[in-house]
Amino acid sequence: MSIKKHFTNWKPPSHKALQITSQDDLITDKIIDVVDKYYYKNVRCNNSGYETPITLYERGSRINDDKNNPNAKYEIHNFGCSWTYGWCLEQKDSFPHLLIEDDIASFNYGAGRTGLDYAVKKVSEVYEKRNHRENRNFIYVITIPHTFRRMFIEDSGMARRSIEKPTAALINEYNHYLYFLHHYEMLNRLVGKDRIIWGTWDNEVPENKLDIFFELHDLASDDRHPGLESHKIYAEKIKNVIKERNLFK
Amino acid sequence: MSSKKETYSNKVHHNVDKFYYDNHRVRKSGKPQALNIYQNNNGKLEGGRQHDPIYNNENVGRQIYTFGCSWTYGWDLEQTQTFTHLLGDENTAVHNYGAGGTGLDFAVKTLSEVYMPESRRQIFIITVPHFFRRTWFDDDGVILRAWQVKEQTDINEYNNYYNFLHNYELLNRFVGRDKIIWGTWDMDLPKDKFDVFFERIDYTDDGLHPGPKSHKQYANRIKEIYESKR
Repeated sequence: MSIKKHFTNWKPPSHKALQITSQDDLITDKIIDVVDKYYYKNVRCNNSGYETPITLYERGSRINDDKNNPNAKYEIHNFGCSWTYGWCLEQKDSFPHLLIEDDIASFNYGAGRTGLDYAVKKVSEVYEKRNHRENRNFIYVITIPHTFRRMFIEDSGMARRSIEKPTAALINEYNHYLYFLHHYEMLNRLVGKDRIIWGTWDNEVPENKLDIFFELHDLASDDRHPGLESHKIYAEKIKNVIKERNLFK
Repeated sequence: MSSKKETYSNKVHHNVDKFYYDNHRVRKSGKPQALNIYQNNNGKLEGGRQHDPIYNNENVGRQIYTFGCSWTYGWDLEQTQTFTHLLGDENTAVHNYGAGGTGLDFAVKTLSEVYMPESRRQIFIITVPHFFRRTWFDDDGVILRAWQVKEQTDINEYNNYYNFLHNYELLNRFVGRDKIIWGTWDMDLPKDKFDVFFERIDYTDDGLHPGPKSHKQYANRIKEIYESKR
């Protein structure tokens, strides 16, 4: 008998057929529902199906800043974690605010405990919404958090802002570095490296991939996050890169 | 003398960079080897079908790039029988970036290598393989075969589906949904994310891959889609 006969009604073998799982449907409606809510709405579902927004901000969103001139010619969009947000600081003391000028609006998308993948997701939303493919009046400042952070959903369906350290430790360094590299290169290639300023506070990120480093010169009230002086110095570094690259001319 | 930490990091970076930038797997012995993504590549990345034998004029108004796995490559078929080639004509150049055994993340990586943001002539056709395929390294820094990752790791379906969705949305948002035609042959993925389905109505000699009729049908469906968008 020809082998082809066996495959007349062929379809990709299910996990059940491969004896990997006990179910045929690999992506169930529940999986789609949980992931879509997490991805598009920043909502997590707990074990009893109750939905709650994922906590990203200490004192509410800081995306827009009252000081921004709505008619500013140029835009700086800042992405990262609590260090970008300015945890334990007033908004006016965070480095994104310190970048604002008459002709330059600055937006703060910092979200606590998130990783680079969340930042890249936010970048893609901003890129599309503000039509940055056509309007090349922007700069993205991306401050990379710990590279092991990644969006993660537990077996129960509970979504996390990022993977917990003990779970992250179960994934080897190769896959963490690959995850970082894929996001880094996707942005450079699809948006344009000239439009991105790459920073970090994690000294495990390879130096040759970075433009600036967010150094800790002083501490905020929680003794963990950068204080006023650190934000000020980081803002100056960003301004210097903008000047050197002649980005707003 | 470098510290143990530095040495480790360098090996991590080396193995990952070899994959990401050169499409090579570094074996446990440290020896690099080309990924076996093209048929009869002899360990050298030979056999790629990026250059079409007939429809390869870089100056014509439509440049079609196809991405996916062996179904896009046209495993066990001549290049002129593949759906990519069948999309070509005097006004359309075609570039087949199909790579056997790979997943969507590999397609996204490859697309980012050829993408020209300023171009208005590029059209991308992405045929998504099994959603759970992905690039994954074992603890020795050797890349697993993408289709075996599910069996060899315990990544749950939530995270596999998230991985698909993230790559899918990033391309739509950065490149533009209007520039991409999404196809698949995996029936697990939500249909509302796709424009076209790659049906297997005949087989190649291996009894696994789509044959000439399937490719022809798929090419005709794709043509209908981009003609309707004009």
